[in-house]
Amino acid sequence: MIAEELEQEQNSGMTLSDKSVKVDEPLQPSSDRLDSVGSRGRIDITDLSVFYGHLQVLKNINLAIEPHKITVFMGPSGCGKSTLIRTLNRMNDNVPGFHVTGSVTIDGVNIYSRGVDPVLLKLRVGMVFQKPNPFPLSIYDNVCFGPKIHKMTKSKAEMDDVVRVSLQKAGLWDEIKDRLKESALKLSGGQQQRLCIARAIAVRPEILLMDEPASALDPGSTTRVEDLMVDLAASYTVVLVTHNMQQAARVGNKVAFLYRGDLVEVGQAPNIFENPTNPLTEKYISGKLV
Amino acid sequence: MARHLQDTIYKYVTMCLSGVALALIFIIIGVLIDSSYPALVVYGSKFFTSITWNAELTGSICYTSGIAHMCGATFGVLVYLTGTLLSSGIALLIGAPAAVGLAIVLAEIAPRRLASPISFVMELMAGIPSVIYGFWGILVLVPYLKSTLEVGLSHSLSSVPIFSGAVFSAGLLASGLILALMITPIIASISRDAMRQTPEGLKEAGRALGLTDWEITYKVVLPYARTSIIGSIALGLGRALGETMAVALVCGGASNFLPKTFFYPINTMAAFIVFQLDAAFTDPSGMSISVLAEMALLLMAITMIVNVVARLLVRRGFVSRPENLIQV
Amino acid sequence: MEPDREPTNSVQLQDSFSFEGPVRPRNYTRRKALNLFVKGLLIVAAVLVLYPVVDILYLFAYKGLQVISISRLIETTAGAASFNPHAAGGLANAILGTLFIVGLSSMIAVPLGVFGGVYLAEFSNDNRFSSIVRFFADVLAGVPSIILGYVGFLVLVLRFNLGYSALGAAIVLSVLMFPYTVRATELALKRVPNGIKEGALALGSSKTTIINRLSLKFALPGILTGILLSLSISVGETAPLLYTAGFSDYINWTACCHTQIGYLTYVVFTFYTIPTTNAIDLSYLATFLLILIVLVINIVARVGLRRLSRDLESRI
Repeated sequence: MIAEELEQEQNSGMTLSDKSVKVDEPLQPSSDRLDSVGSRGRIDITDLSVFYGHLQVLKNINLAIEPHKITVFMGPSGCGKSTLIRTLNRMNDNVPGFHVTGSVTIDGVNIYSRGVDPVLLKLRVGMVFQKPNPFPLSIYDNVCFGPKIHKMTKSKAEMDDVVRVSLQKAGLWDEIKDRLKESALKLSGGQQQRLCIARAIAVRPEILLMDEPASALDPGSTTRVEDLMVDLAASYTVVLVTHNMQQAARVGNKVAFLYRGDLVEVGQAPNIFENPTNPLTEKYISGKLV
Repeated sequence: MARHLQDTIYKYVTMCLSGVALALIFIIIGVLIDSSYPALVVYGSKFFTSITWNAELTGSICYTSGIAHMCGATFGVLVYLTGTLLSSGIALLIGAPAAVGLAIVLAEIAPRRLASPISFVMELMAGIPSVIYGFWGILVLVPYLKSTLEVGLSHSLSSVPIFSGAVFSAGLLASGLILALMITPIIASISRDAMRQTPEGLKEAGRALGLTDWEITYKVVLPYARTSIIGSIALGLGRALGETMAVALVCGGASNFLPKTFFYPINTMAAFIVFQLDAAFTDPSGMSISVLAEMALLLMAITMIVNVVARLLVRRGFVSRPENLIQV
Repeated sequence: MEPDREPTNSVQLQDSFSFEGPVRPRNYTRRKALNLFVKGLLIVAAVLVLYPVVDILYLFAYKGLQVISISRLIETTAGAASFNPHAAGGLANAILGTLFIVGLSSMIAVPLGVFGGVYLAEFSNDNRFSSIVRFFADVLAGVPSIILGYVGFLVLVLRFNLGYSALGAAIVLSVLMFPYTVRATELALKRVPNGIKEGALALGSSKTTIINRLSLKFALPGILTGILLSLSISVGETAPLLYTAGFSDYINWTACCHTQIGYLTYVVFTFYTIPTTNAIDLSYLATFLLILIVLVINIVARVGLRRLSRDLESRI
């Protein structure tokens, strides 16, 4: 288990009291949890079209996104990949004129059906954005922001654990454990982005949407975030948007290539790069399509 | 060479012109200090502690330290200072929350299509002359307050002294309400602009964490815009303190007594200066002019302090469009 | 059911899955209600705050249209105090007086303000002096107009012995307009794209030429907006004029000196207390005209000039 190895690796680097180990347990991506939610967090996109007013930005998309895999949306800018990922947790609801046809179901429930509360949906579908966007608060307050507002913990100690484990999972704990009270804005760009990942997973979503999370980062930080995504896939359904083909190839399990609102091709990660079936995909991969 | 000279001349001429703003402030303060000097010498600190204003215009002239003044005249600013502070305080208590509420509606709740006509109405609100607010106050607000208060608070109203003519039975509450209306566009437009500057990323972060719309406003937008909002409220206060005509029409024109209830007639420093126009001419000793200058100086000092604090709070370079300048 | 979530995660679990289900926070019902309640409250506050403006516009449009007539626009206020219901009386002296004072004050404030703004935008490089000037301009804009009026009275009416006059009133109003004009010009000039200036500079034009021929032209809509809006404030001012202009029922004034001059806001302020129908009607009419002027200026400044500036920008 990659995630467990990560846990151990991090645990070895810090001093843990008996108590915190115990409380820590439920948040760990234990094998128990992995088995039980093995089928949770599955997204099925069926005949999805998205419009902004009269402008159609996505055309008849059909795609299955599987749990514990990294599904990558790739394509040139303006292809609709960002719109697609934001459609998965209804982040676009506030855009004037936004409407969809077709359906997006998560574990069998259409998230655009009447009974679904778009606010609660976000608790199951977390999101990390292109530009790191920590709140102008301390590192600690950033991570506990979600759990606090949703009253997810009963005590300060419990909150401390949520913060610690979230930061551990985001691979940031060792770097900042001594300065949790410092402003998050003092962190480097890469650290800020991992903090945003920690903040997103602190509310325990099942699905993590990542909209070009590494595009504003330097190469070193990019590598760290990519490694992190692979680890996170053990516990979450990860959806990644990128315009970086190398990144898609490095981390993706399933890659969807979009072009001008159409889903051109879907394939398993190595295949789609080695033997693309669609000439458009081939052109894009060989860098001839901007 | 000639061209260089031309540019240099242009630069220094325009520099002097821009410096006029500086000069004017110093001239205003200088003139007020100079003119209030006789009053300061003759009446000293009594000016700040007395509630009586009696110019004794028909008396004879006495001299103190060689300065002419009317024998037995008393000039106390306390009634007017109290009226100014109380009416502005009420204006803030009512106007600031309402204005920030309006700003939230404009920046966060109303769709753009609705927000821009509402914004236009708000900008118009800032443009309506003060005297017209006062006129509306007499015609609509004061009668309305009277009729509803009489029904609801008749026991309180029994303590309200009746002034000449029902229409002019105005006072503290009416002044506070009119001022609240007048400072609303200032506070609301700056607050709205500050809220709109909240980075979209922060709001999206909140939304993605499962915050409701109000929680996003309260936890993300308001903290981000807080300094500017406080600054805008201070600017509103500065406006309320110096507001003249509207208050002059609805304040009830009190003199020589302090308000005991919300419904008491009051007077403010700015309004009183307007009312004393005649006295300024008819005082044979000329002392009234000096005392009014002292009152103006006091008002200037208070509004300047408030405005300077406000300007420091409202972020520099915040106003980016000329058409937004007027409210700011 | 998820056994691993249950122990510490204080969120309610439901047995069948729905989006309201496994991750519905305990406090969510309350938060959702609060959200709706606060939104409702804010909308009510906004309506309450905006209602008086609508009422003001409606009331005075209604009254104004009732009392407006040609004779009331071409006659002077001289007959207004008469108890004869058919008495003559109009606002011609006040309308012309307002236009004259405001016109005169913009002749003073606009050149000073525009070129002061040129310095701040084009020459100052945001140095210390310019930030002091900006600060004082903002402070000046915040000085209560009654203080400007009283200082004008002390200096112009008494010390310089101008008496009540259009000139004195105009000087005081120009002090009021000046800071707006300076800042509006500065902001408008700073919005002119650098590319234009640099292009001309590369062609060898002097800075003076560039500013006068190019920058000011492109900044014109913004500058005009600022000037117009400060004009609309001046038109509505009363307090500074009471102490500097006096009032005259006739059109007998000259710019200077010792000749009182009529203006609209004075009619609003005082005619209401004159117990004749005609005088009261005139104060309604004066209010209506003032609102009309303010409305027109605001629409021109905010809608018309914004379009003009967009056109200019699109041509770049």
